[in-house]
Amino acid sequence: MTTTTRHDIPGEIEHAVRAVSGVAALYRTGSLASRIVDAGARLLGVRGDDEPLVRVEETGDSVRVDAAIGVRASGGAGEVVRDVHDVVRAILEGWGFADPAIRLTVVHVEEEPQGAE
Amino acid sequence: MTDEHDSPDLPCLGFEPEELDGHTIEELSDYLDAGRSPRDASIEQSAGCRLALDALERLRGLTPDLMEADAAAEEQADEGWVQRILAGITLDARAGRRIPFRADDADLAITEGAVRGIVRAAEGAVPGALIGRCRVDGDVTEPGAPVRVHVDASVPYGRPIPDMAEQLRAEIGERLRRHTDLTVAGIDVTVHDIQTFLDAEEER
Repeated sequence: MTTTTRHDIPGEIEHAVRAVSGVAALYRTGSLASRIVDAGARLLGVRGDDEPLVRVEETGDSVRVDAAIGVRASGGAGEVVRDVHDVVRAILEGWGFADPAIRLTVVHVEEEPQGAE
Repeated sequence: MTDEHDSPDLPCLGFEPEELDGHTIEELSDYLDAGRSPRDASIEQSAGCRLALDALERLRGLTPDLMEADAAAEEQADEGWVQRILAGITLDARAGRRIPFRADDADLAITEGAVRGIVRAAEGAVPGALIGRCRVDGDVTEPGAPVRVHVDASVPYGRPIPDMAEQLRAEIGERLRRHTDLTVAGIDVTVHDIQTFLDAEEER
Protein backbone atom coordinates (compact mmCIF):
# COMPACT_ATOMS: atom_id res chain seq x y z
CA MET A 1 0.00 0.00 0.00
CA THR A 2 1.26 3.44 -0.80
CA THR A 3 1.03 6.09 1.86
CA THR A 4 0.65 9.64 0.64
CA THR A 5 2.37 12.34 2.63
CA ARG A 6 1.98 16.08 2.47
CA HIS A 7 5.12 16.20 0.36
CA ASP A 8 3.00 14.72 -2.40
CA ILE A 9 0.58 17.65 -2.47
CA PRO A 10 2.33 19.55 -5.32
CA GLY A 11 2.48 16.43 -7.46
CA GLU A 12 -1.11 15.50 -6.70
CA ILE A 13 -2.31 18.98 -7.59
CA GLU A 14 -0.23 19.07 -10.76
CA HIS A 15 -1.61 15.72 -11.89
CA ALA A 16 -5.18 16.85 -11.26
CA VAL A 17 -4.72 20.23 -12.94
CA ARG A 18 -3.32 18.64 -16.08
CA ALA A 19 -6.44 16.47 -16.25
CA VAL A 20 -8.83 19.44 -16.28
CA SER A 21 -10.49 19.89 -19.66
CA GLY A 22 -8.99 22.85 -21.49
CA VAL A 23 -5.66 22.82 -19.65
CA ALA A 24 -2.81 22.56 -22.15
CA ALA A 25 0.26 22.84 -19.90
CA LEU A 26 1.75 24.01 -16.62
CA TYR A 27 4.53 26.57 -16.47
CA ARG A 28 7.09 27.76 -13.99
CA THR A 29 5.87 30.31 -11.49
CA GLY A 30 7.73 33.06 -9.68
CA SER A 31 9.52 36.25 -10.58
CA LEU A 32 11.67 36.66 -13.65
CA ALA A 33 14.80 36.44 -11.50
CA SER A 34 13.68 33.24 -9.81
CA ARG A 35 12.82 31.66 -13.15
CA ILE A 36 16.27 32.45 -14.52
CA VAL A 37 17.86 30.98 -11.38
CA ASP A 38 15.62 27.94 -11.81
CA ALA A 39 16.67 27.56 -15.46
CA GLY A 40 20.32 27.73 -14.39
CA ALA A 41 19.76 25.11 -11.73
CA ARG A 42 18.28 22.79 -14.34
CA LEU A 43 21.25 23.30 -16.63
CA LEU A 44 23.58 22.41 -13.76
CA GLY A 45 21.52 19.37 -12.92
CA VAL A 46 20.69 20.69 -9.45
CA ARG A 47 17.01 20.68 -10.24
CA GLY A 48 15.25 18.07 -12.33
CA ASP A 49 12.91 18.80 -15.20
CA ASP A 50 10.27 16.51 -13.76
CA GLU A 51 9.83 18.30 -10.45
CA PRO A 52 6.32 19.71 -9.86
CA LEU A 53 5.72 23.13 -11.31
CA VAL A 54 2.98 23.92 -8.81
CA ARG A 55 4.26 25.89 -5.83
CA VAL A 56 2.82 24.88 -2.44
CA GLU A 57 3.73 26.66 0.79
CA GLU A 58 2.48 25.25 4.05
CA THR A 59 2.59 27.34 7.21
CA GLY A 60 1.04 25.59 10.17
CA ASP A 61 -2.60 24.97 9.32
CA SER A 62 -2.64 27.24 6.30
CA VAL A 63 -1.51 26.62 2.77
CA ARG A 64 -0.84 28.75 -0.26
CA VAL A 65 -0.83 27.34 -3.79
CA ASP A 66 0.51 29.18 -6.82
CA ALA A 67 0.27 27.80 -10.33
CA ALA A 68 0.77 29.14 -13.87
CA ILE A 69 -1.28 27.38 -16.50
CA GLY A 70 -1.62 27.30 -20.25
CA VAL A 71 -5.08 26.76 -21.73
CA ARG A 72 -6.34 25.68 -25.12
CA ALA A 73 -7.80 28.42 -27.29
CA SER A 74 -10.94 26.40 -27.97
CA GLY A 75 -12.18 27.02 -24.44
CA GLY A 76 -12.55 30.25 -22.56
CA ALA A 77 -9.54 30.94 -20.33
CA GLY A 78 -11.74 32.22 -17.50
CA GLU A 79 -13.92 29.16 -17.53
CA VAL A 80 -10.93 26.81 -17.51
CA VAL A 81 -9.13 28.59 -14.69
CA ARG A 82 -12.30 28.52 -12.56
CA ASP A 83 -12.54 24.77 -13.12
CA VAL A 84 -8.89 24.41 -12.10
CA HIS A 85 -9.55 26.41 -8.96
CA ASP A 86 -12.40 24.10 -7.96
CA VAL A 87 -10.18 21.04 -8.46
CA VAL A 88 -7.29 22.48 -6.45
CA ARG A 89 -9.58 23.61 -3.67
CA ALA A 90 -11.16 20.15 -3.41
CA ILE A 91 -7.73 18.52 -3.10
CA LEU A 92 -6.62 20.93 -0.40
CA GLU A 93 -9.84 20.53 1.54
CA GLY A 94 -9.29 16.80 1.33
CA TRP A 95 -5.97 17.37 3.06
CA GLY A 96 -7.76 19.29 5.81
CA PHE A 97 -7.03 22.86 4.77
CA ALA A 98 -10.28 24.72 5.39
CA ASP A 99 -9.38 28.03 3.81
CA PRO A 100 -6.55 27.60 1.32
CA ALA A 101 -5.09 30.56 -0.57
CA ILE A 102 -5.08 29.64 -4.25
CA ARG A 103 -3.46 31.86 -6.84
CA LEU A 104 -3.88 30.76 -10.44
CA THR A 105 -2.60 32.60 -13.48
CA VAL A 106 -3.21 31.87 -17.14
CA VAL A 107 0.13 32.61 -18.79
CA HIS A 108 -0.40 31.17 -22.27
CA VAL A 109 -3.33 30.46 -24.57
CA GLU A 110 -2.41 27.70 -26.98
CA GLU A 111 -3.78 27.90 -30.49
CA GLU A 112 -5.15 24.71 -31.98
CA PRO A 113 -3.14 23.34 -34.88
CA GLN A 114 -4.65 24.34 -38.20
CA GLY A 115 -7.12 21.76 -39.38
CA ALA A 116 -7.71 20.45 -35.88
CA GLU A 117 -11.25 19.95 -34.69
CA MET B 1 1.67 51.49 -13.30
CA THR B 2 4.55 51.13 -15.63
CA ASP B 3 4.51 49.17 -18.80
CA GLU B 4 7.46 48.51 -21.04
CA HIS B 5 5.31 49.44 -24.01
CA ASP B 6 4.57 52.88 -22.63
CA SER B 7 8.12 54.09 -22.29
CA PRO B 8 8.90 56.75 -24.87
CA ASP B 9 12.59 56.29 -24.17
CA LEU B 10 12.65 52.60 -24.89
CA PRO B 11 15.96 51.88 -26.55
CA CYS B 12 15.89 50.13 -29.83
CA LEU B 13 14.42 46.86 -28.69
CA GLY B 14 17.53 44.80 -28.03
CA PHE B 15 16.91 41.10 -27.57
CA GLU B 16 18.06 40.71 -23.99
CA PRO B 17 18.11 37.16 -22.61
CA GLU B 18 16.24 38.15 -19.43
CA GLU B 19 13.22 39.01 -21.55
CA LEU B 20 12.78 35.33 -22.43
CA ASP B 21 13.65 33.58 -19.16
CA GLY B 22 17.34 33.44 -19.98
CA HIS B 23 16.96 32.65 -23.68
CA THR B 24 17.34 34.84 -26.74
CA ILE B 25 15.13 35.10 -29.79
CA GLU B 26 18.01 33.61 -31.80
CA GLU B 27 18.14 30.57 -29.52
CA LEU B 28 14.40 30.09 -29.93
CA SER B 29 14.77 30.38 -33.68
CA ASP B 30 17.48 27.70 -33.63
CA TYR B 31 15.26 25.54 -31.43
CA LEU B 32 12.50 25.78 -34.03
CA ASP B 33 15.03 24.91 -36.76
CA ALA B 34 15.79 21.72 -34.85
CA GLY B 35 12.11 20.79 -34.76
CA ARG B 36 11.96 21.51 -31.00
CA SER B 37 14.06 18.42 -30.47
CA PRO B 38 15.60 17.39 -28.18
CA ARG B 39 12.98 18.86 -25.90
CA ASP B 40 14.30 21.73 -23.80
CA ALA B 41 12.30 22.02 -20.59
CA SER B 42 13.69 25.47 -19.83
CA ILE B 43 12.04 26.65 -23.05
CA GLU B 44 8.89 24.53 -23.06
CA GLN B 45 8.07 25.35 -19.42
CA SER B 46 8.56 29.07 -19.94
CA ALA B 47 5.40 30.95 -20.87
CA GLY B 48 7.45 33.77 -22.36
CA CYS B 49 9.35 31.39 -24.60
CA ARG B 50 6.15 29.65 -25.66
CA LEU B 51 4.54 32.97 -26.59
CA ALA B 52 7.62 33.89 -28.62
CA LEU B 53 7.70 30.46 -30.29
CA ASP B 54 4.03 30.82 -31.31
CA ALA B 55 4.72 34.13 -33.00
CA LEU B 56 7.96 32.92 -34.60
CA GLU B 57 6.20 29.92 -36.08
CA ARG B 58 3.53 32.10 -37.64
CA LEU B 59 6.19 34.45 -39.00
CA ARG B 60 8.15 31.52 -40.40
CA GLY B 61 5.14 30.45 -42.39
CA LEU B 62 5.67 33.56 -44.45
CA THR B 63 9.45 33.70 -44.56
CA PRO B 64 9.93 31.40 -47.60
CA ASP B 65 7.63 33.66 -49.59
CA LEU B 66 9.58 36.68 -48.47
CA MET B 67 12.83 35.14 -49.62
CA GLU B 68 11.34 33.93 -52.88
CA ALA B 69 9.93 37.32 -53.70
CA ASP B 70 13.16 38.95 -52.66
CA ALA B 71 15.23 36.71 -54.91
CA ALA B 72 12.89 37.34 -57.84
CA ALA B 73 13.15 41.07 -57.39
CA GLU B 74 16.91 40.86 -56.80
CA GLU B 75 16.54 43.29 -53.98
CA GLN B 76 17.49 43.14 -50.34
CA ALA B 77 14.89 41.80 -47.95
CA ASP B 78 13.30 44.44 -45.80
CA GLU B 79 15.23 43.57 -42.68
CA GLY B 80 13.87 46.62 -40.93
CA TRP B 81 10.39 45.18 -41.22
CA VAL B 82 11.49 41.74 -40.02
CA GLN B 83 13.35 43.32 -37.09
CA ARG B 84 10.24 45.24 -36.13
CA ILE B 85 8.21 42.03 -36.06
CA LEU B 86 10.89 40.24 -34.01
CA ALA B 87 11.12 43.15 -31.60
CA GLY B 88 7.37 43.03 -31.08
CA ILE B 89 7.52 39.30 -30.44
CA THR B 90 10.20 39.72 -27.79
CA LEU B 91 8.49 42.57 -26.00
CA ASP B 92 5.06 40.99 -26.14
CA ALA B 93 6.36 37.77 -24.60
CA ARG B 94 6.90 39.53 -21.26
CA ALA B 95 4.38 38.58 -18.61
CA GLY B 96 3.48 42.20 -17.84
CA ARG B 97 0.57 43.03 -15.59
CA ARG B 98 -1.74 40.48 -13.99
CA ILE B 99 -5.31 40.90 -15.27
CA PRO B 100 -7.95 39.53 -12.86
CA PHE B 101 -10.92 37.36 -13.70
CA ARG B 102 -14.18 38.01 -11.88
CA ALA B 103 -14.24 35.59 -8.95
CA ASP B 104 -15.87 35.85 -5.54
CA ASP B 105 -13.32 34.12 -3.38
CA ALA B 106 -10.39 33.28 -5.61
CA ASP B 107 -7.28 34.94 -6.98
CA LEU B 108 -7.57 34.13 -10.68
CA ALA B 109 -5.93 36.09 -13.47
CA ILE B 110 -4.39 36.09 -16.91
CA THR B 111 -1.09 37.80 -17.70
CA GLU B 112 -0.84 40.74 -20.03
CA GLY B 113 1.66 38.68 -22.03
CA ALA B 114 -0.92 35.95 -22.57
CA VAL B 115 -3.46 38.57 -23.64
CA ARG B 116 -0.99 40.02 -26.13
CA GLY B 117 -0.49 36.48 -27.42
CA ILE B 118 -4.25 36.15 -27.90
CA VAL B 119 -4.31 39.43 -29.81
CA ARG B 120 -1.32 38.45 -31.94
CA ALA B 121 -2.88 35.11 -32.86
CA ALA B 122 -5.75 36.98 -34.50
CA GLU B 123 -3.46 37.47 -37.50
CA GLY B 124 -3.89 33.77 -38.25
CA ALA B 125 -7.57 34.37 -39.03
CA VAL B 126 -6.85 37.21 -41.45
CA PRO B 127 -4.71 35.83 -44.27
CA GLY B 128 -1.76 38.02 -45.10
CA ALA B 129 -1.96 40.19 -42.00
CA LEU B 130 0.90 40.29 -39.50
CA ILE B 131 0.83 41.99 -36.13
CA GLY B 132 4.08 43.65 -35.19
CA ARG B 133 3.35 45.25 -31.83
CA CYS B 134 0.51 45.10 -29.37
CA ARG B 135 -0.25 47.39 -26.43
CA VAL B 136 -3.06 47.41 -23.89
CA ASP B 137 -3.75 50.85 -22.41
CA GLY B 138 -5.74 51.38 -19.23
CA ASP B 139 -5.81 49.95 -15.74
CA VAL B 140 -6.18 46.28 -16.61
CA THR B 141 -5.73 45.36 -12.95
CA GLU B 142 -9.01 47.07 -12.03
CA PRO B 143 -12.03 44.88 -12.92
CA GLY B 144 -14.43 46.72 -15.18
CA ALA B 145 -12.08 49.59 -15.99
CA PRO B 146 -12.17 50.45 -19.71
CA VAL B 147 -9.08 49.51 -21.67
CA ARG B 148 -7.97 50.18 -25.21
CA VAL B 149 -5.96 47.82 -27.40
CA HIS B 150 -3.50 49.13 -29.97
CA VAL B 151 -1.84 46.97 -32.62
CA ASP B 152 0.60 47.72 -35.40
CA ALA B 153 -0.01 45.58 -38.46
CA SER B 154 1.46 44.75 -41.81
CA VAL B 155 -0.86 43.92 -44.69
CA PRO B 156 -0.39 42.67 -48.25
CA TYR B 157 -0.21 45.07 -51.16
CA GLY B 158 -3.42 45.30 -53.14
CA ARG B 159 -5.86 44.47 -50.36
CA PRO B 160 -8.24 47.16 -49.03
CA ILE B 161 -6.62 48.35 -45.83
CA PRO B 162 -9.88 49.38 -44.11
CA ASP B 163 -11.35 45.91 -44.72
CA MET B 164 -8.31 44.13 -43.34
CA ALA B 165 -8.18 46.42 -40.32
CA GLU B 166 -11.85 45.74 -39.63
CA GLN B 167 -11.31 41.97 -39.91
CA LEU B 168 -8.44 42.17 -37.47
CA ARG B 169 -10.45 44.35 -35.10
CA ALA B 170 -13.40 41.92 -35.15
CA GLU B 171 -11.17 38.89 -34.60
CA ILE B 172 -9.27 40.51 -31.75
CA GLY B 173 -12.51 41.61 -30.08
CA GLU B 174 -14.00 38.13 -30.27
CA ARG B 175 -10.87 36.55 -28.80
CA LEU B 176 -10.69 39.03 -25.94
CA ARG B 177 -14.35 38.44 -25.08
CA ARG B 178 -13.78 34.67 -25.06
CA HIS B 179 -10.65 34.66 -22.92
CA THR B 180 -10.78 37.71 -20.65
CA ASP B 181 -13.15 39.76 -18.51
CA LEU B 182 -11.68 42.99 -19.88
CA THR B 183 -13.96 45.89 -20.70
CA VAL B 184 -12.62 46.77 -24.13
CA ALA B 185 -13.47 50.35 -25.02
CA GLY B 186 -11.77 50.21 -28.40
CA ILE B 187 -9.31 48.41 -30.65
CA ASP B 188 -7.02 50.55 -32.76
CA VAL B 189 -5.26 48.99 -35.74
CA THR B 190 -2.44 50.97 -37.30
CA VAL B 191 -1.07 49.66 -40.59
CA HIS B 192 2.66 50.39 -40.58
CA ASP B 193 3.84 48.28 -43.49
CA ILE B 194 2.55 47.03 -46.82
CA GLN B 195 4.27 43.89 -48.02
CA THR B 196 4.38 42.95 -51.68
CA PHE B 197 5.53 39.37 -51.07
CA LEU B 198 2.32 38.58 -49.21
CA ASP B 199 0.32 39.50 -52.27
CA ALA B 200 2.04 36.74 -54.22
CA GLU B 201 1.20 34.22 -51.52
CA GLU B 202 -2.46 35.20 -51.54
CA GLU B 203 -2.74 34.51 -55.25
CA ARG B 204 -1.72 30.85 -54.89
